[in-house]
Amino acid sequence: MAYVEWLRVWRCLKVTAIVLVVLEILLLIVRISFLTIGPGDSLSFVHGVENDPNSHVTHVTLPDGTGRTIIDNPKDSVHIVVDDRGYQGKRIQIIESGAHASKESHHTVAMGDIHVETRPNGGQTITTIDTGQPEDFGYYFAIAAVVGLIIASVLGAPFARENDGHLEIALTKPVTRERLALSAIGADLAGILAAWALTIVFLIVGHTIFEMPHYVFGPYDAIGLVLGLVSCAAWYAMLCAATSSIKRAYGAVIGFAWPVAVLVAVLGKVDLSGTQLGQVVHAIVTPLAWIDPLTYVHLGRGVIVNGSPAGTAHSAPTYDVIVLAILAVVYLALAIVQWRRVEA
Amino acid sequence: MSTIEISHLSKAYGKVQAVNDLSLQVPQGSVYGLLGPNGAGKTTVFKCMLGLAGFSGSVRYDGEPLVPATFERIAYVPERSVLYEWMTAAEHVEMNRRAFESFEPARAYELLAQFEIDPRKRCRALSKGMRTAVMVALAFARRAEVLILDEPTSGLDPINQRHVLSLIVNEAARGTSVIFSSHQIGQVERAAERIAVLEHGRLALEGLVDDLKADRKIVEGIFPDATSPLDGIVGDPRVARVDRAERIVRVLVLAGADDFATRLASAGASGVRILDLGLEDIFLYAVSPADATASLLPKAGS
Repeated sequence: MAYVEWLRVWRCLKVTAIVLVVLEILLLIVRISFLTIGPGDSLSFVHGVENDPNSHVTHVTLPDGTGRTIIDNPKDSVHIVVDDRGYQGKRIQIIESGAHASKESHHTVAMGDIHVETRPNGGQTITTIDTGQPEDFGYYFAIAAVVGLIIASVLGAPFARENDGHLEIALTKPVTRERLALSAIGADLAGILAAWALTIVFLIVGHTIFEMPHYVFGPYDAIGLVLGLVSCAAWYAMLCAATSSIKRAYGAVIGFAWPVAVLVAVLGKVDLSGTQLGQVVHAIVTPLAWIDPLTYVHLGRGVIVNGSPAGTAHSAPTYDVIVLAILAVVYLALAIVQWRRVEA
Repeated sequence: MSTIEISHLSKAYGKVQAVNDLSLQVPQGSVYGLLGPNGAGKTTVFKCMLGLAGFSGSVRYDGEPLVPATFERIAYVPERSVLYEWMTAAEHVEMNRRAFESFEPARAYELLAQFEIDPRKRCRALSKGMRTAVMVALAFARRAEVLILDEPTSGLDPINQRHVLSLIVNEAARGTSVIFSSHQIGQVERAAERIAVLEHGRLALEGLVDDLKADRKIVEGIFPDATSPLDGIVGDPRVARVDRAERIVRVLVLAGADDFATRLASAGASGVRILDLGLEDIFLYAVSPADATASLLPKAGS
């Protein structure tokens, strides 16, 4: 069974790799076709000011090779300095004064390697956009976790697949059922991990096609990495447990698992105490949400506003990791116990 | 090498008693044929022997109960294809090589070639008979001590059926214990030394093929009318059953065929003759409904 499972995993990884390579080629085509594309170029505001007839534009090259564009628009009281570091990204400083000055207080937003800072300075507002800032792996881990969850769904019924007409092969080998089950689980988890790693490589290459990333690996990244992997394992384990004793229609179980688990996870977090029906739904959904892995899954720290993660979904990521790990172990044990009782 | 002992094996699926108190023994190096109509419980017996289904009673190989390590010595061909359709025959060979120490890949490829199967083909591209042939090749490449074959010639053409029978006989000659089922009774008659006939999960008949054929005879006679009495014949313990079709009476006897021929002639029958039975006749008589005989008996007072 382990060999069969390895073959399944290998085929699944091949398809995953093909999809990722095709996407990578598409990115490359986009990069070659639109050479000027980049985060800074999407700032239509800068281009708008640059093309304004009232603006005075100066281009200089700094000693380190940086192409500096200085845009002055006295009419609108806007002064922009764009430092184009080529492959290393851009740094754009926008100084607005007068009616254009923002009334907002100082705040920062960081998303990947794009850091935006807005701060008041007397009667002026200085906005700095830097696309070449150090980038954490959080987004990569989040996207890789999504791919891992998809692969976990594809591989998530190893026992049901054997039950569906192959038990005579699986169970007439000179090993115990427990060992068979564990070897299959091991192969699948290795496959999920490999798909996760493939996605990370894909993302790094994809990012590098557009600009040179500056990676940093912080504590949030460590949690994001572990959370992503454990959530994939827990999801896979839940699907195993849900299908280990059935012989057919396991595909339907896996298909329904996604919407049901998402619905339970969402309803588990919504306050439904307003109506009597809501209270009944809450009473039903809450215990289900406890055992639903998706309840504990989130996509890392996400957008950082003023130095803190936006949203409240991941206030205790360590707790989520521990619960997901426990769910994974319990579901896998349940799957094995059930499968031991299946007859050919 | 192994002897298989099945004692008081019973298996029920819900309220349906699939196998009922079955006991039989397959001696080492023998070929044992398991016969029975559809639903008689043959496949269930095999599954119980392999621990694929729970049961009461016991199954022992050389006196030892089945444990995972026993499967190193047992090869099994199920009645339907259990091959992974998305895998090639070669990948199945590799799977068996990894699973069993006794598996000989070269022998498997040799057998696949004999069945004219391209090992690079995915199983979904193979016909029913070819899939059976792949399973047979994988089982016989094991050099197992016990072969459990559930209709191993199903779907095969006559040439390959004959080939499988030769393989079975050759394996038995090496000392392998073979138990197999088939609806092709002629094949069983050619290959098996001993048979058991299952009927509704019960053992209806069991013994050496030669003994069964030697003992059982049909004594047939033609009476002047359809109601001639058969006094003293119907109740005789040596009579297994009496079939009556209009004026023709056929008596299945377990012994003393000459005696019954004389008695039929004395009762007024003409053209009395003694017929040898083939295994197919023996099988059909064993699994025919019991009331078939009763319905043929003369009515009281006639």
